[in-house]
Amino acid sequence: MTAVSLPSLLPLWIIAVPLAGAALLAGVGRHRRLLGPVVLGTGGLCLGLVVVLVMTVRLGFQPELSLMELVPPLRFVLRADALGTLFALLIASLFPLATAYALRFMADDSRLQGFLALVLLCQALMLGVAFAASLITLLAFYELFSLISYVLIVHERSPRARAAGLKYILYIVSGGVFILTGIILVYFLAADVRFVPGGLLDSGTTHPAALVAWICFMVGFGIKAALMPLHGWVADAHPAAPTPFSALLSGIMVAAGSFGILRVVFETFGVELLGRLGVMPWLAAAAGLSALLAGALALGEDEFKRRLAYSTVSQMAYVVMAAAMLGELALVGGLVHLSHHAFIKAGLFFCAGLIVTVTGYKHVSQFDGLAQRMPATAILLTLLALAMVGVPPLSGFVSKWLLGAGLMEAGGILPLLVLLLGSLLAAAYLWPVIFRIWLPGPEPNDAASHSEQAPGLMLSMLAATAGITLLLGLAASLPGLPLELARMAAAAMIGGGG
Amino acid sequence: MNMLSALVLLPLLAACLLPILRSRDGQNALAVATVVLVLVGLLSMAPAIVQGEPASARLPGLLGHFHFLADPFGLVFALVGTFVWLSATIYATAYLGDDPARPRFLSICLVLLAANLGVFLAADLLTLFVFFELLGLVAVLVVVHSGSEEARSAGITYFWMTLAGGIALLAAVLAVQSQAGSLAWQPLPEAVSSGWRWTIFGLMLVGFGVKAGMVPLHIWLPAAHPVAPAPASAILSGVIIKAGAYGLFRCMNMLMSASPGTSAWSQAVDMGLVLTLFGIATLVIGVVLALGQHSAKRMLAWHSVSQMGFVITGLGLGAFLAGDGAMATAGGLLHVVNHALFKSCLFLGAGAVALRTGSADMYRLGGLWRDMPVTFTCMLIAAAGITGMPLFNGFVSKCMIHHGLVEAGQREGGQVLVYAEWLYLAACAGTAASFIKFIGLIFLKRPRQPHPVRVREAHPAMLVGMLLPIIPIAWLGWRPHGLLESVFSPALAGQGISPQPITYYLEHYFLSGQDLAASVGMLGGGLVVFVAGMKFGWFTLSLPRTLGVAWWYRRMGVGMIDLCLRLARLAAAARAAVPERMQTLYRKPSWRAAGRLVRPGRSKLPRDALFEALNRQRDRLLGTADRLARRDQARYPGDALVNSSHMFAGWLGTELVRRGMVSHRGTAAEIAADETFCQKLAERAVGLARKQLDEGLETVEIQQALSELDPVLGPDRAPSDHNWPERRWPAELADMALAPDHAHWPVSESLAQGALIRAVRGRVRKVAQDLSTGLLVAFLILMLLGLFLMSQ
Repeated sequence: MTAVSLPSLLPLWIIAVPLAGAALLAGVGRHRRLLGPVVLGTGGLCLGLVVVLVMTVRLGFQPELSLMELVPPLRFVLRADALGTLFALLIASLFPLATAYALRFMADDSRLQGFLALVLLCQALMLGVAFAASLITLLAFYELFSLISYVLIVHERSPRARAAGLKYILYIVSGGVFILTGIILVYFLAADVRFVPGGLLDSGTTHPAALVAWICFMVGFGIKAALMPLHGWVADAHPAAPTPFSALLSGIMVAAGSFGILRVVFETFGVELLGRLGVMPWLAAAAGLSALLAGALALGEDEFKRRLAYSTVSQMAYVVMAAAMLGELALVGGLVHLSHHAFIKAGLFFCAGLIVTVTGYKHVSQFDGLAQRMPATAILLTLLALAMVGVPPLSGFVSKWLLGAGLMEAGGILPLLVLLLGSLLAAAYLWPVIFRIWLPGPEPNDAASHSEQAPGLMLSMLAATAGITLLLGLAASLPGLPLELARMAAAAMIGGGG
Repeated sequence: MNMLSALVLLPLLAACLLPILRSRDGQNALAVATVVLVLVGLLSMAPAIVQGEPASARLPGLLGHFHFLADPFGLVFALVGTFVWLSATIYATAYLGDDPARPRFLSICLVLLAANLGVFLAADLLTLFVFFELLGLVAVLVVVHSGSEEARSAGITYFWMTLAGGIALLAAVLAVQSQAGSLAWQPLPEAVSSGWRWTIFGLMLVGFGVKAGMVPLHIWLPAAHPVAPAPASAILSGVIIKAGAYGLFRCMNMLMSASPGTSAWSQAVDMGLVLTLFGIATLVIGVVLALGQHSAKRMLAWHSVSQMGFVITGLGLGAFLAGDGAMATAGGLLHVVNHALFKSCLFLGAGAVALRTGSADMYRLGGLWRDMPVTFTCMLIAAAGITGMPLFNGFVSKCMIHHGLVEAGQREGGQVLVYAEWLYLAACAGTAASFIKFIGLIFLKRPRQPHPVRVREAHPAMLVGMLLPIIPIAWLGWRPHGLLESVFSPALAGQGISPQPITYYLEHYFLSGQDLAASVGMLGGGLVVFVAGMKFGWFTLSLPRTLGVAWWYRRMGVGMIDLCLRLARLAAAARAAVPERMQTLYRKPSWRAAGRLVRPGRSKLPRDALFEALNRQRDRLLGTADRLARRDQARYPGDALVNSSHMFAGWLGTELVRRGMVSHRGTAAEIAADETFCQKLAERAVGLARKQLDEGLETVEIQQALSELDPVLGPDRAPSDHNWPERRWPAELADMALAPDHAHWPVSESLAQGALIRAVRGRVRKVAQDLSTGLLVAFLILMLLGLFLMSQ
């Protein structure tokens, strides 16, 4: 450990805090009154540290910390560059929202304590993914959090949850094998597995192994990123998992797959090599198809959470499509979309959870006239759904605009067409929800079956996501918000040269 | 922040404050005062802007800043819009009465005002787009205000059209940015290829055309405008659709304008011709359909379509004539102003009539000139404006567009535009006929049956709202020189368009004998159409719905949704790897199912016929058993036999329903209808009951009773949460991975109780505890390390 300075320890601290929180939770045992303080304290502390990190990174520092060395070139290294910091910011702000939501949503659950501890553990591991500075570090954290996610998905232990969990784990484990194969190939080609801005591999490589490695990575991360033929687990895992975790799953976990793709594309292969290999148009085509087909599938789902899950598949495909354009503006658009989508989608899942808590309804066809029973939720749901469609001046519009401009610059009119058709589809699958809620049909629903107030804590978490959505829309360019970090990250990853 | 951005923010601020105020008068006063303030602010800026010093401002937001710029065109649109808003707001204070949703309505109107100002004062395309979308989508709220079935349906149409238009516009804006590199309203660089120019033009035509109600994108307008409350109709028809015309004007005169002689210039001329033809189609179709309406408000809405056709024709001719198009362009712009004034007045009047009489059907009303004299006068003047009577404002703009059309016809060589001129004149005559009908049927004709109660004149505030636009209608008809010569001419000259034709028009054509003769001819034609139409019943003909574009749009929308549903079904079928499930999962998605998604809440959920039949059979079984038991009741003490029979019959019935639902559908349906089988089961139940009372029952015998069901329903299949022993584990595993909703966990249920699992669980728990303690220690160490480093 040479020259360990305080900023360079920051990533480690950020990872350690949720770990300690998880340990504390295991320690406080059955004292349920302590759950809230511990969970929120950890989340808040972690978020505070990440904010400090964001400020550090904006000043141009890049904290780096070598943890341990396996075999000489294989080292566990943490580094907080702009991309990682952006991702860490998302994780650190979304996890506390979801855990706080879970405190009320799962208040009757006797295993809440274990659930929360595992969520915190998951948070720590995801932060590790964000800060990973080499493929092997990334893989380690990535596999660990994927495995822990399994436990969280099957938390309800119903046959449905177990079946969905099994499907999830089958997909993810095979994805991990692909990634490992890719790493071995990269090691074989470059004798190193670090992430280097601009690309680790020699841009003149003609070895066929490079192509095979690329395919392996795309399949491996594509499974997590729910790229279309590999998306099977998404639509089952989301409705089966407890709602707070569905929000995380959709907002962040799927994004982790896209994050992996971005890392590999720009920091292992590099723009030049991929441009020469000529493989990115295929990825773009797959992502475009994925965006449209998933939108179409979402339209056919009546269960709200499944509909949202397909919507995630569709939205995350834009990010991959933007990455496949290999253009700087498109990359900014993709990153901003990834960040803005996280909050919108988490908010929509919070809505689904609130509706289930208050009314017990899970299907869109039951939502007639909900606005009379839960007006606040209805307003926020409408706001978030419109943001998802990309209506100005909400955050969804900003990311759609940047994506559109980037796609137009790099790929011409066809990707733009996909984006616009996709947002039309988004309107098609979210509009019936809004419409049913506000304008019920002539025949009234079995009104007020058990009319209870929407729980304040859950509602305030929902309001927080909606507030962030509004803020990211009206003032997207404030310093420290995702847009600025995304610009820094894109500049470093494409212009960086290595 | 300066005046301009304050003007846009002020209504938004007021809209937030308004619901906080409790008193009705306070809310009214706030709404009216805000609009007056905005109007005064705009007027105070007007002199400087007309002198050629545009005001600009910017507001932080979105990706940097919103940019605003008030040039003469934007200012005129904004001023007229705010003026109409003022009259509609004053009117609304009385019109809404005790409507519980009035604070909401007033707030929405203020938000719409802000969005509208944002559109007209936007300095770049991004700002324009943001406010344009806001305007369009917030307006949904006033369309569905009443919550009636008609409003719901109109709201759906409106939302989809607006959204589709918005997406086209977004594509256009992105294309402009990528091609021109800037979002300002300035001519596209010469280097932009003709393909891109036409793409941008086409997308903008769709994007703005939807809002402007241009045929064939007009379908939302006649649906949405009549269902909104009257003041909202006035705003929608008077101002909000003008945002589309404004966008088309900017697109033609600023984006597409090019220096003469270049290829871009000739393309701009071609685009002008295309726009003109769309305009002519719009004005003709609008008038024809307006003539066939019964409801006054629907008729006015169709006239909005038609009048926007006049505006679009004027703008298109202006672009077609390029440097010499000042008269047509100015005519189009003047018609925007005129239409805003008389159409809002007409909608307010029709609303007042409908409020007082309870009906908007023209054929039912009559003789109201006596009861509502002020309203009648206002309507008469506004109708004179819209039909183009000399000395009223419509006359000026319609004549200007007509002269433009004649000139363009000469230049074009007499191919298409000659017929266009005939259509134009016919449409003017149709408008006249339509408003003769409007005034005649509502106010002059003797009513079919006398009104039960005496109709009162409208509320004074509503009269003020109607009287406000009357003044400029008359003034612009008498002296249009001020607006044309001192505002439009210099501004058009600033765009490189010679203002000479405007001056020429005012000197030689305005109120000349030729124009007056044309006007009289047109009125005469209108009278003839009206008389003949009433006599031969032309106004009540209805066209097949396949002729309307709305029907085709709906077909397309439903088709798309249907395609998506099919995809979803296919995906589900593919997931269910087992072939026998294919059939049950891939049921053909029906039009009805698709329609439910398009127009949710219309139809009920599908009922499960089989379950209901089985359930009926169960009830029948209970009834039969009850009858049989009551026959022998006397032999047993009290109700013992009846009660016991009920229990057995109920149990058999439940089993019947359960096994019927899991067995083959055809057989189950047969069973459900089979009365002899029911009789047999009932006898069996009573027999069991008797046996139980006589000598007691063995458990085996109860199980045996179930075997009655076996021959007909087949052997009892295990309910879905058990193993399927006949299936092998690879199929099992594949099924679980592919279709978890239908698959089940075969092993864990039995293992979960096993000793091994218990032992492993205990071990894991212990390890986890140890691990967490270890982590705690690690955390403490880490903290100490950190403190140590910090102290260094």
